[in-house]
Amino acid sequence: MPQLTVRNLNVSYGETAVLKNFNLDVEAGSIYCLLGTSGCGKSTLLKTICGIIKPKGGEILLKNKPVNPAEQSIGYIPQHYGLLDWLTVKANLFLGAKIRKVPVSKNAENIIEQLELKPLLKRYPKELSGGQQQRVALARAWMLQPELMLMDEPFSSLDTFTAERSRDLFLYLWKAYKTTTLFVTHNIREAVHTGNYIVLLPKQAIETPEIFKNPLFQANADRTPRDFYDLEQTISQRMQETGRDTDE
Amino acid sequence: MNKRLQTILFGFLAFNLLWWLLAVFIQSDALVSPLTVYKAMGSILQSNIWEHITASFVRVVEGILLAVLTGVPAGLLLADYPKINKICSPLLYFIYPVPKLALLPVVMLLLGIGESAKIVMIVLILVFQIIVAARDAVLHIPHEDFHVLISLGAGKKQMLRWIILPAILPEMLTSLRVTVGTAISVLFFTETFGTDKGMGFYIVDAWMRLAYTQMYAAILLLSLIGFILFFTIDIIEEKICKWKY
Repeated sequence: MPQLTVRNLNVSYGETAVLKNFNLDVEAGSIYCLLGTSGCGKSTLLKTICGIIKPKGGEILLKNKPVNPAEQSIGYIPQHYGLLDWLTVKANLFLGAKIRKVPVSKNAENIIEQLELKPLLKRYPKELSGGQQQRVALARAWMLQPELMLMDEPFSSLDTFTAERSRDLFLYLWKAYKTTTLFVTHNIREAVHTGNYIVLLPKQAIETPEIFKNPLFQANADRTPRDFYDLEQTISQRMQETGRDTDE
Repeated sequence: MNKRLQTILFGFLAFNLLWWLLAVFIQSDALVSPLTVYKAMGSILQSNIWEHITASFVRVVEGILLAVLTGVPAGLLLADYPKINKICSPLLYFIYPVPKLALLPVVMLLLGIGESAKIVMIVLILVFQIIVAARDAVLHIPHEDFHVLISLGAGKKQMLRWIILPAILPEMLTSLRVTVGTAISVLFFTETFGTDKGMGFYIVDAWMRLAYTQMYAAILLLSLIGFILFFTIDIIEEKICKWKY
């Protein structure tokens, strides 16, 4: 049984259909990288799953129940992290527990330690660098041990070095908790280095997406930079053939 | 020395120097030197002036509080319900520039010449500024701030508690700072009618009696009320909007 099922989802902005009869099954404990051009509906899909956008039709099931952020635990990291300026790092981290009125997770201390956030707890988001803000957003999303993690281009505004470090931290957390994750990106390289599935979204999301199983994911011993490069080329070629070419 | 204290001290000295230079230059009985006023201040403060200071302080604080307590919720309501905003906006824009001070006779005819007319006048003048400021402040909150809370299943009360109120607080305090000056001006005007208590009455009475030293001392004390309110807002902002500093 998939962890997340999206069936015949229809989402429009006014008269413009962004997602039309969209279908997707997401395996539990996997990372699905959603790859596609700007405006193809990647972010819209995430926002619809976590309740920010109301769909016109279709259904979204999380563990076979209609998705409901008030009852199910969903971690969401928007592109600019969504940290609240008026809360300290500590208050931002524990915001989820306060909103959902649940005790702070036993792993909270661990996550804070792993992401090296202890010295930053009393600071405000404006006092942090982009990389530090990103780590706070990652930690906040993981604090509640969500059933589903939604990440919307979380590393796109970071420099290459910080983005790679943040991705490593994300994969470290994912290995520890095996949270089912939808990861939006428009960067093929990031997708092949992050996901165990790569979902190619059509330019105008009116079809069922094509899904690649990433053979290089977690295959530590064998993979070489050349393998990644070849896979990037394959995906890029496939996207061009199907009119799904990314911005890059 | 604290930077703010330095600014205040510098402002105070510059103001007094300017006043003193004008008094020396103009040489008129109507422009008393600050040195004369400060010398007389001791005996003035031992007179019944405290009754007037208290009456004015209570009126202005009541007026500001009532304007905030009605204006902020009204602004939030307009921001939250676009249909109500659409209906009320034209009315708001029509009423906003009307010189409300001209309504003083109407308010006094309807409410009499007692305390309520004076407080209502202050509220009338401040409340529209506060409504517009609150509504616009809410509408300027980035949508992304709400998204994380929606994904956590937050309801309206939680949105208000965790996002709307803290996000609009700095803008509301700025707006309040502007309204304090206006409130003091309105207070002075309303106290020149139908009362024998308040700094407005005291200043006009001293003026009529040609007691210019008393008049200037009272103007200084009325300004001090405004300054105390202004300073209090600064302190509140520093305490509760720490992320801004």
